[in-house]
Amino acid sequence: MTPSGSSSPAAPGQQHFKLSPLSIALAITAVVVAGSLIIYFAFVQPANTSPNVPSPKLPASAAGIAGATAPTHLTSILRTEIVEKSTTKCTTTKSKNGKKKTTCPPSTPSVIEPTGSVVTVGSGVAVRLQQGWTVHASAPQSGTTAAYVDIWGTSSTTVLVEAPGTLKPGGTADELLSYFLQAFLQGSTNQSVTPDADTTINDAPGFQDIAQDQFSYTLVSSTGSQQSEGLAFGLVNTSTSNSAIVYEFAPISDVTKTLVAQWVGTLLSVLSYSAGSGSSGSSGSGSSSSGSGSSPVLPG
Amino acid sequence: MNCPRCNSEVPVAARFCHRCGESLDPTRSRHQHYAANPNEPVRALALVSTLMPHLSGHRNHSYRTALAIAFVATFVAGAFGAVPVALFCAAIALPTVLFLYQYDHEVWEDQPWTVIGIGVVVAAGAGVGVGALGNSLNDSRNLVSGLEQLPGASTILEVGILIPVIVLAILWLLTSALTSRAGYSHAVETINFGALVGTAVALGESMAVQHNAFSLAIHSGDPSRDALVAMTLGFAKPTIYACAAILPGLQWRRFHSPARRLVGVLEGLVLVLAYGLLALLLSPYESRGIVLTALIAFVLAAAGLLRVRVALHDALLSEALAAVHASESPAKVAHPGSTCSHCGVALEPDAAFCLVCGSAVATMAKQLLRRERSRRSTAQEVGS
Repeated sequence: MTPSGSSSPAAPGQQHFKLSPLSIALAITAVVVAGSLIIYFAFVQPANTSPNVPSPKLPASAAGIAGATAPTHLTSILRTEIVEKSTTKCTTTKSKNGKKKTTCPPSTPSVIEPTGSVVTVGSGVAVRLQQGWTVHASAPQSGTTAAYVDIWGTSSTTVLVEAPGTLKPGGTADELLSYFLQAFLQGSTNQSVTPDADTTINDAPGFQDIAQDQFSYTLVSSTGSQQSEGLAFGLVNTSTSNSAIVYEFAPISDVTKTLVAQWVGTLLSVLSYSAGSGSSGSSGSGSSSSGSGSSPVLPG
Repeated sequence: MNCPRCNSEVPVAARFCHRCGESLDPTRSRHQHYAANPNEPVRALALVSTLMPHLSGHRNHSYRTALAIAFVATFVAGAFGAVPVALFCAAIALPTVLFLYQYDHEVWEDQPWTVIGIGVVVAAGAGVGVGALGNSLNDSRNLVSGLEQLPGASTILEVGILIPVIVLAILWLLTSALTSRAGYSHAVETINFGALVGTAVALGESMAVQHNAFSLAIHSGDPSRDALVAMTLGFAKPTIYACAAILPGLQWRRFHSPARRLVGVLEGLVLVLAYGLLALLLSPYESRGIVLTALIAFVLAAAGLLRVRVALHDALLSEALAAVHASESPAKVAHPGSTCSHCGVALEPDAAFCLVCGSAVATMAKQLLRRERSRRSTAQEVGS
């Protein structure tokens, strides 16, 4: 029972294979690298980086945004930093009896400039996006991973959403919101939305619920990357009239910096599974916090 | 000296019976020496040696390294937010490695185009079809559901049950289409081609389901989520599908009673159903759902691999024993002059197992056996 010498065998495991061990490693590396480069240049590289040039239209399927299907749910928790910022200047006058009186002009439902700081998360805020549309957002509750957004329609229970254009660097808040709405509704062009009873957010007078969902989509520009600038939009808080809510999205560099924190956060979220209520009320905490507007939100 | 199990005469120094594979050394349990790779126990979580049974010792390391490269590339790409790249690396890794294995070891023998056509092209196409069907069934889902709301009964029936059943039927049909061909009927071939079909179907389905992630370069902004999704889709799901493709055919060969033959079908069904249902039911739970889905998917993949290893090991041993009792040669035996591809020892003529390491001849490098066979036939022709 000695190794056969008559047939001069190769070492065990090395008998006349077509590929050497090195070529196997090289082959898989070549496939991975080549495929990654193709994917990168085909899809991830900017198709149009100029902010002045209209972006291409989203394909109708864009509304399906990755993860619309259940088993993979690549849809993301939108990184949200909810900040309130005073957008109107109030004037303080002294009355004859010496009492101070503060007067604030009525707020206009308009785009609020992005801000990366601060914040008091108050009660739910709403903004008029386009005629007939209102978004009602609330802050993430402790133990949840995202805010809720409620979309209201004025009179109809079936809403048609036209596919907006893609975002582009420097895009306006309206564009961002339009894009968000499309992703949010998951609907291709002209998709109807079934009314959904809302139990968590109080409706505004005269409005009825159209849909409710988690605020869970990432805005992506036509360059294929998240934007560090211009990718924020403001919502006027109609309840406090002089506040706004701003959503911001982390640029990739920030994501990288906080890689460990996000991993830990995701894993912690499992541990805190039972703590997550998933509910979102219209009343906020009113507490303040400070920090960068692009820091990640740790789930749980 | 005779084997206590099959009573065959074996050399005195033999550690394993070359006819039935029984361990002759009381200190060596047969369960510690997997028939396809005697360096591993039967119940070991080894992806490479399970799905690629013809690999011998050194080749295992090469293929493990190749998979590790793809795994690391997937993880790094996903962790840094390059979701399309991560998904691509994950989706292509196992099918590529299995394709290399088929080529490297001439597993397809003289029918490469048949294997590529059915095992890769048709299987991936069927996977795309299943993915498209899943997408269409999902279109109306989630639209109005809020956070942490379970899907409705119709969605569970369609996406959680119907789709997995269709997947299992495709896996079984395509694997059977290959293993029913002449020369591919051995239990080891069920693993070779079941693995190829399973990974190709998973590749096609994942590409169809995730096509927006490629075409729109969408990512979640949470690298841990993206990496977990990519690794689940690229490694756990193909392994589950591969095991589900293998088990029906393997258990069918292993058992003779009709009832027990259905065990493999049930095992495959449990694997794909469990994966499909859990992924669906956990989907509303966002990050927590993804983490739990990934964990459960890898547990299911591990369970499937263990079942496949046990089934193949038992099938090889029981087939050899049955052949001894019937005074026949097992389906695949060593030819004179051939050596064990694991330990290099000369094999006994007509041996079903190596005397020293206990590896099954049927799992040894295919081209080696073919060369020995052709060399012997050439020698016979010259002699005559």
